[in-house]
Order: sequence, then structure tokens, then C-alpha cells
Amino acid sequence: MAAAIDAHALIDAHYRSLYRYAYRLGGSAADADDLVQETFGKALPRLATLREPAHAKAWLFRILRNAYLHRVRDEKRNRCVPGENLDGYAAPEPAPPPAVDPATLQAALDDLDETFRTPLILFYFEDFSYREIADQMDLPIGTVMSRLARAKNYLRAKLSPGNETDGLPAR
Amino acid sequence: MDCPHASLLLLFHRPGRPSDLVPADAAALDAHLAACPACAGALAARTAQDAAVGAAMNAVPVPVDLSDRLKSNLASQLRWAWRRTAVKFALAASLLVAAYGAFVAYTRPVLDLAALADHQDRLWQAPGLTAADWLTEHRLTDALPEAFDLRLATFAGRRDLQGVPTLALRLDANGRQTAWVYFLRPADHNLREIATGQYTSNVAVRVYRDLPGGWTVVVAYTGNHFNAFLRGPGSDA
Ligand SMILES: [Zn+2]
Repeated sequence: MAAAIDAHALIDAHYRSLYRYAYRLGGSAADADDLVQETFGKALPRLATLREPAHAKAWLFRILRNAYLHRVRDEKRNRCVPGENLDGYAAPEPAPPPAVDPATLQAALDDLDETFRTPLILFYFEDFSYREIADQMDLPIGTVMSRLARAKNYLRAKLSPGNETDGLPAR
Repeated sequence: MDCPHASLLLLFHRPGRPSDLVPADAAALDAHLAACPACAGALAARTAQDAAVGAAMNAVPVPVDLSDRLKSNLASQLRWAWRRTAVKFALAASLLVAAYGAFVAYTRPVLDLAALADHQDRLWQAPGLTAADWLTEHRLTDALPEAFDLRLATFAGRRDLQGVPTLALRLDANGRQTAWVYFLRPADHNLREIATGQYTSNVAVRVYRDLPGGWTVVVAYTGNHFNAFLRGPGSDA
């Protein structure tokens, strides 16, 4: 069956990066697993509608993010840093960066509003250009750039030793 | 290019990736970085930080069995898709059947016993008039091949004739003499071979072809007196 072969190739090509994306978005392995399954569950029946195979990755990432946003909306989760507060995180003096602890990173991501978290994750996966991130989020590229700069400052402050509790709102 | 301008362009500069800058800006930025240790240092620090964060960001262990589970999900999804399609069609078919049944049930006529009795009463009270009206209603008046005495009519309507509902008139004369007058269309029966004759000891049949309106009339009657069904001389009914 041709459709099944294409679907298997699609799974093999993208399940890892989708899982990492889902994990960083939601911060939980169980949720990430569910989200990836939901993403392929929604994508594969619509595989025939995908005209450009080159766009498959962006397409899958977009489906996953929509699924994630849907869940978050359902859970009415609201434990994020409001975007306006991000300006408080000034870039520290240039210093040799410490090796970043993935758990600390995840904690920092979990406290970040999704509108800042998503461009940050996509940026660091280095799979997407700014233009593609903007397309993913249906935003102007300037907005993405500005959110990214602020989110990176925030992240830098959070990941600097001694700064873990500096001005952070409670979860 | 000054440092603020350079730091703005640096936002679009991602080492190891195709630049989002237009070639002229990228070249100007490269020239500035080569000449300005402060901006070059900032870029180096940022690049190192990005590399560290990027490595941590990607350090997510992916479950080893995820790919297999996704593929088995896909297989069962395909099976269910087929099943769902089959169920959908079956449901649509049964809905159609149910809808047709409901339509038939809803539109079948109510049996009107009052009309039935009224019709029979009129035929009994004024058989000639009722039969004449019936002939007019069905444009059979000109197709009547003989001067039948319509006052003898006891039935005027459709009667099953070997499987075909056929316009028919029944005349009852004295002494259990009965004549059935059938009005036939060539489309309903093959009439080519039929002929007038005495078919049993009690029943004779007369065939009249090419009547006005294209009718063929068959009269099957009992008794030996065909005239018993006709208007007598001087009769005016
Ligand atoms: Zn400079």
C-alpha cells in the first residue's frame, strides 16, 4: 500500500524532532508521547493533501503546536510569565557560558509564555529559519525577532549561576 | 557601519546557517566584525551560549519504541478508517431504507369507507347515469362498441385482468346473465391472436378492434342472449 509506505517514511524522518519539540513545549515525557501520537494521528489521514513533501516538517510541527495549544486551552493552564515582564531580564555581561543543564532549561521554558517559548525552541532546534518560525506562528517576522531577542535575554538570565530566583514569578 | 547597527544585524546572523541578511548587509557586517573586537566578542559569546543552550534543548531522550508504536497506531488507524467507511455506508443505506419506509407509510392513502359507500350507493340508485359518467370520465364513451344498456351496470372501475389493472364495466341482466366489458390497450397485452368465439358452454367472447381512441374492447358474457345487455327498441337510457 503506497500510502502506508509514505507514512512510515514520514514517521521515521520526523518523530524524533517532533518528540523533542513536544517535550520542550509541554515539559513532560508522557504529554510529549501523547502529542506526537496525536500529531501523526491527525496528519496521516491528510497526507494526500500535502502537496510539497519538502514542507512536511513545518506542516507536522504546526499540527503538533495546534494540538498542544488545544490541550493547554482545555486545561486552562496559566502558570507562565506574562510577556510584558520579560524586559526585566537584562543580558548579563559576556562570560564563558556554563554548560546548560537540560532540566534547568526545561524549568525556565515551563515558566515562559507559549508565545515566547515556541520561537525559542524552534530557534534552538536550528531546523527552522526566522521566516519559517514566523510562518509556523502566523506572525510577522519582526514580531518573531523581537520575541526571540527578549526570550533569549530571559533565558540567559535564568541560566546564569546565581540568577535562578532573580525576579522570577512563582509558578 | 557603527556598533548599534552591527548589533541589530547580528540578530539576523546565525553562524553555520544561511544568513537571513541580504548579501550587501552580510558583507558590511562581516567587515565590521573583522574590525571591531567588541562586536566580534559579543558574537562569539552569543554563539557559544547559543551552542550550549541548543545542545541542552536537543538533549531530550526519545523513547526507543515510539517509532514502532506510531506505525502500529497507523495500521490500526487504517483498519478503523476502512471499518468506519463501511459503517458509514451501511448507516447511510439503512437510513435511506428507513426514510423510504417512512415516506411510504406517511404518504399511503387513508381508506375512505364513506367514499366507497357513496360510490356504491350512487351506482345502485342510478346505474345508468353513474356508468355513463364513468365512461365520460375515462373518455370511453366513443369506444363503446355496442349500445349497451347502462342501467344494468353493477360495476364500473379497474379490475385485475391477468395481472393488469384494466378498465372494466359489468352488466347484470335477468336470469344470472353477466357481461364483463374490458377496455384494452395494445401496450398492456398482446392482442394479436385473440378472436371472437364461444369459449366454454356458458361463456362467449366478442372482440372489437380499432375503436376510437385506439381501444380494443373484449366482452365476455354468459347466457345465449347477447341482446339482453343491449338497449331495447324504444329504450332511451
Ligand atoms: Zn562594533
